[in-house]
Amino acid sequence: METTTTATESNRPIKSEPLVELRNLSLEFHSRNKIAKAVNRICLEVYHGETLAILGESGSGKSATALAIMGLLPKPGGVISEGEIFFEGKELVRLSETERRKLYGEKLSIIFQDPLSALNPVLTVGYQIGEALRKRKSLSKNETKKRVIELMKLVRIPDAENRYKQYPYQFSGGMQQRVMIALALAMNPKLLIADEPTTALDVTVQAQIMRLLKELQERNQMGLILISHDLGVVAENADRVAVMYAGHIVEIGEVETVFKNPAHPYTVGLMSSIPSARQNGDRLQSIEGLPPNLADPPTGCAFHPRCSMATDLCRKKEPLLEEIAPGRKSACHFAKEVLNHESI
Amino acid sequence: MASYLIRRFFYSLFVIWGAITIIFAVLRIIPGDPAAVMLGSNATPEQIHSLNESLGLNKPLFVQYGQFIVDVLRLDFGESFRLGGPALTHVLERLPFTITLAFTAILFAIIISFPLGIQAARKPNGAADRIISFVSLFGQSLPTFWVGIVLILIFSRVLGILPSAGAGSVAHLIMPAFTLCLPFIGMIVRLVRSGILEELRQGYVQTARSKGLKQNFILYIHVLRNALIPVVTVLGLLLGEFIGSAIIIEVVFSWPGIGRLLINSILYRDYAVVQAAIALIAGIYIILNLIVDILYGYIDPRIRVEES
Repeated sequence: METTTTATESNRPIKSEPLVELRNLSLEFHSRNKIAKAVNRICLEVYHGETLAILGESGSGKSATALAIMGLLPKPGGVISEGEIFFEGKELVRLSETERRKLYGEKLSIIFQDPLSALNPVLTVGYQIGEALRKRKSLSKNETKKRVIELMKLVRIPDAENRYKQYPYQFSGGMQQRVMIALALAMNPKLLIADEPTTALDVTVQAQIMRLLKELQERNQMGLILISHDLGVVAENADRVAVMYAGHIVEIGEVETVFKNPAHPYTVGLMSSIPSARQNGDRLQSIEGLPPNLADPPTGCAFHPRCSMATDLCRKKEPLLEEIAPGRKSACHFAKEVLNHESI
Repeated sequence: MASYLIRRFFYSLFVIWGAITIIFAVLRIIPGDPAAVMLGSNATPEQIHSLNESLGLNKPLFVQYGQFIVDVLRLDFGESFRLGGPALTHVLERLPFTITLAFTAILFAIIISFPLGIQAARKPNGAADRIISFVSLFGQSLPTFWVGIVLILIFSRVLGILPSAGAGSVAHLIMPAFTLCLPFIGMIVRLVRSGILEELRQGYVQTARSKGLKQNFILYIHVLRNALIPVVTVLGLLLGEFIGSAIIIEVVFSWPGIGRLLINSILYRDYAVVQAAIALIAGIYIILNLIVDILYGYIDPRIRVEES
């Protein structure tokens, strides 16, 4: 991929202006007579070449956020009820359909959790990787094929010339995810969203896929949003992490500091749920209780029913995401106490 | 694929054997002495006896059955006593008419119901969807013989633009083919509609959207082919129904196909013709199903796997 454009852009100082910025984004899912608030007024930004992980359990709103950025919220039902999404300074929600379609595929791409269902079973792998090139850049058939085979080699699919003509079911899970990555990278996007890219794969394949993603990210200086519930994957691959719980960002900061010294009781709970090789025979730690029903969230702090530190204040007043140290934010009334308590 | 086709072929032979055995049994269960029916009410007992003798109808059933199977293997279904000459020749003469009628009807059904189904799926529960589903359900619930008669009244009697009976030109074909396909349109429309809606929920549609492709492109290139897989299966199953319904339509429109020949032959106990016609219809049905299976493999690459 000898594209000169991405190379020059990568020379820009990294923390200039964010590539993507979410401002007070709220998402709702409307069903027959219920409204579930999937995401509540979240703010995020991702810079060129940076990996931001969004960490959370299922139902925390992390995938909904990804879909909203890609304009893929399920229709009808999924609504952006509040806030803005900026991409390179352009507001995505207000763009016309044609302008938006132009951005997707060219500058923003996504890969999904289950590559087999994300690929069309009746179209060849080669066609699917090259489709955007052919439709958007109107490359000829031969040029497209050449480029697709390059891409397949880039993501290390062996025997690319022959596998070009094959169908997704003829590939193993890991190879399917490589196809998906090649497909997402076909147009040299500036931002790649990876929605649980390794969850459906074997552990050994997981590591290979993540290494490949990181390598390609560096090559193109892409912004990467890594959505995961896997603490290990996040710890190894992300620069910053946003922890989501029940549609809120409860904590955000550099991965190392957040993991070493959490500033929110939920993150503390997550960290202590990691099994340790040293504590032999102990029961696995878990957070008591269940995540709240998003159609009927608790008052005050969404985490208070499961929090051991909860007070009356937590039951009444919703904590805001506030800066507690440079580049570090937490949405807890007792963030300082949590920090100090943990550092002892 | 080759071994699959060979397996299918032997399976098909078994099905044809079953079909002709059933028709052999059914014809002998129908009340009334065939020789008596053939000769009419003025026949003497001696005449009836000698006819039974010459047709082999007084031999024990299993002997008749054995003889019948041997003859069928030689493609000899016997002579038609009513029309004279080999029964198979009469059936083969009528066959092209029935096939033309059934295929035109299938073509009509596809041409009418695919666009309607796609249109209905564009906005589920929207105005167009409701109108389409109401009209197609209505078409499905009308009895075909009645529709045929009403069409004849309107287009032949009142407007005088289409011939009411017989065959020979494209104009002759329009009304019977339309009448024949009408009940199937509603079914296929709903199949296409639900197939598309089901496929639109699949992950690959999200992927296609994330590429910034146009909605129509996604619908026709990505979704439709997947949605057609179950539709083709059901169309294959419906083929038999098309031929079955064709028999009634042929009578209404005096269409000279197998159907009318079959009904008259049953009335006159012309066993040879009935058996030949049924065996042939079973054979056609099986060949059509085989074609559908091959087509199925063409649409869905996962079916083609077996060979590798």
